[in-house]
Amino acid sequence: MLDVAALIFSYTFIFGSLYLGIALGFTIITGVLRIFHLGYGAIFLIAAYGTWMFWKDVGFGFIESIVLSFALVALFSFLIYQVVIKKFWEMEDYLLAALIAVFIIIEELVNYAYPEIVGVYLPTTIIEGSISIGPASIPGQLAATSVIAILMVICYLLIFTKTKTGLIMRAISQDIFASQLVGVNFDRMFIVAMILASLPPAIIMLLIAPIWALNPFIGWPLFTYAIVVSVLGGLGNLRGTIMASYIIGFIHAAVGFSLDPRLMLLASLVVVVAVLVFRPEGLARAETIW
Amino acid sequence: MLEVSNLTKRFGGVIAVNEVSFEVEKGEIIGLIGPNGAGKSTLVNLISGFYLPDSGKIRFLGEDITKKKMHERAKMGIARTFQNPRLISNMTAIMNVMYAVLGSERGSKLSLVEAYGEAAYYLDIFDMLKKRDVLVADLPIYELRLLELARALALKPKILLIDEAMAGLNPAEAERVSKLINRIREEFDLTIIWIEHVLKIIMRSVERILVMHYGKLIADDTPEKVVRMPEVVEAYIGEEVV
Repeated sequence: MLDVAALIFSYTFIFGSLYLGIALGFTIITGVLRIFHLGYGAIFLIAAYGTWMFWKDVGFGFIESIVLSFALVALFSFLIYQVVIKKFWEMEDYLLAALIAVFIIIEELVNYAYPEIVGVYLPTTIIEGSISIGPASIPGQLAATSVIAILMVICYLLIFTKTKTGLIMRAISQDIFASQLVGVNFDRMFIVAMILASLPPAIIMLLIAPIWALNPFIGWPLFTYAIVVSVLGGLGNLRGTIMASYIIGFIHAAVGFSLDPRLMLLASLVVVVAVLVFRPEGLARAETIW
Repeated sequence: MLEVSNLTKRFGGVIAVNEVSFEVEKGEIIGLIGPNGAGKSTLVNLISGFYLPDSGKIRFLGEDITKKKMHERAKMGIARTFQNPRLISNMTAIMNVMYAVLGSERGSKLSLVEAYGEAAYYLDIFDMLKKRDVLVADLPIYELRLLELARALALKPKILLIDEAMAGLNPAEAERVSKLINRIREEFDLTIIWIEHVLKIIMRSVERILVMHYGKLIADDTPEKVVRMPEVVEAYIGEEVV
């Protein structure tokens, strides 16, 4: 009993931090741009398969390939803003359709170039083996990913609360119209937000690549986690995302270790729907990202 | 300084602003009046860039700004306030002014500390420094009006468009705001276009009045002459002009 409790406690932290990292970029986009970025899942694919492409097909070193894949992710976010989001800004239905179409196109391109049988593997392991926390044994890479996810969130909080760019983004997230009146070029800030938001999912993807079997359709489950966490937390609010990540983490750990791991996602979805029935705006919906 | 030529804006079948033309010289303070629905706020929205006109031109400091975006016009020195103050409600008073300082032309060269210092300076002008750490959502309407003026001034504007600064204020507060507007005009060498419904205040605060009615500019003269114009009296039938 004590062992199960320790496992649940440990994995609440591990899962929660992981989901926080996965959802961080989605929350930034929802918070600053006030759009539902249905193309978000493509970022995971571009990060993983871009690294593989630069490394194996183009012939760069592994570290250079990672750097280039981040550049590719940033370029993707820039282009998706310029070509899709800007064009359909005031036509939400077109915007959502176009974003999801981009995601599917990227997915199909990846599946064409690198189908599962290619066996894409990225050696991004930071900690080999397992580490023990009391009676709980945790894969070292998952623990490292969790810690890095938390560090990323701290970095982004510092950006939002302690920098000029962060202050302006928070203002835009509340009132884009008033921001323009004081001379803020929201176009430029949106591009910065899109690029900033693309880095956390790219980093998380590369960190979990050695432990989650990579396949061209991995973007969907990761995107699902981002949506579940963001919706439960309250769209576009970082405080809510932090709370929701650990709540979902707890549900997954509790259900996974005391019932059946196959029920983890189902259980969290039921809880999310139940919460939304009574609190449609999520746990901490706010007019500002922080 | 500002040249508006044949400006027209339609909303469906309604012509909100109809072939309006006028010029504003540097340092002028101009009142913009008219009955409800006359097109005053639409005209200010066209000048500040919130709306783009269907036809006509706007030139500011010799440059055609008709198609310029709102933030570009703000950077050129066009600032405005609103009848219903548009501030960032979840931020403190000083943060609202600070982000105007940062959004301004000089903002990119300032550190956060310098921007904070400048914001405090502008709050102090309106006696709002003591409220610097209060959330905007917790401020009464009088202080929201002052804060909006402080934010507009933080842009170091060349022209300030004021939209009904007296709305919701009691007579004593309206007097204080009126005096502050005149004070900042003198101290900062501002050009001002001021929409106002409190005619007694506007008539004695400005040197020139523009009167709009059904989207058209029906009068452009000194306050003394404007109140005697038959078309103005007719537009205000049922209302006392002064």
